[in-house]
Amino acid sequence: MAKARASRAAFESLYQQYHRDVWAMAYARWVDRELALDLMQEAFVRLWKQMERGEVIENPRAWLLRVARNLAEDDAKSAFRRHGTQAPEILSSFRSGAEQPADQLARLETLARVRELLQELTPADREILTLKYALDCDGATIGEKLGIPVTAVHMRLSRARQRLAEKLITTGVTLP
Amino acid sequence: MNHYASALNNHLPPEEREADRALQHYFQTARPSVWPPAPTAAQPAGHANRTGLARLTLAASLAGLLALGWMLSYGPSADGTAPSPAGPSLTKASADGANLQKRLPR
Repeated sequence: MAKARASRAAFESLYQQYHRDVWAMAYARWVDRELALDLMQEAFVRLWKQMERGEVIENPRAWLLRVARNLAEDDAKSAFRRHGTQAPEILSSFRSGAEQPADQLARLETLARVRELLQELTPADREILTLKYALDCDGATIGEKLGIPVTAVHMRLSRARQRLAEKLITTGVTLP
Repeated sequence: MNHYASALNNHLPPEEREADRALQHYFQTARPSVWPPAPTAAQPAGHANRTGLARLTLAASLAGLLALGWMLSYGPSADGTAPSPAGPSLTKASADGANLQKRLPR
């Protein structure tokens, strides 16, 4: 009983440490908040089952990211069979405040266009942008997570922003 | 955009500022508002759960359709009697429908 409690505590600790990283990786693949949450949860359920079986995982973060990546790829393949080259557009994944319907519609449209442009970037660009802008990670933290120096983080962020900026200009997307 | 983000934005080269603003704006809404608690093995993730539910719904729909088809083919008729497999109104019916009409209830 005490062993089970300790195991659960260890699992909760791993969840607190890594759930955002796993979500960010899944989000970078799919650009879909809810699906990324589902993939994150599924990866942790599998980790919990491994721990229940008493299997030792040397590097839980790498293990979780690999499982989530595989789950995302499996989902991509089944989504490809269902929808063609892209996952369906999910406007409902954006939160809405107390806006006027016209303002809300314009805002949602802009966000959907930005989302489309993000999908045109590489998964590597999306991953670093997600870590920076969704999780508010600083350069040092991103460098630690991706295993690259801080200077490389800033360079990659800058290039990703430039590529997005070009697309914003080309497509005429302007923020309200 | 908050004050801190604005300050950071001003340090960026001009060509990146609009992209930075778009990303701030976008991820403000795209990031989870509430992170779910750690799952348990008994609580499958929504993704797997949804797939299971979809399969169950599909199976129930197919079973319903099969049951309806069986009812229409072999179920009791309106007067409560079970129809014969040949069908009551078509026995010895001719092409002009004379025998068919005689057998219809009035």
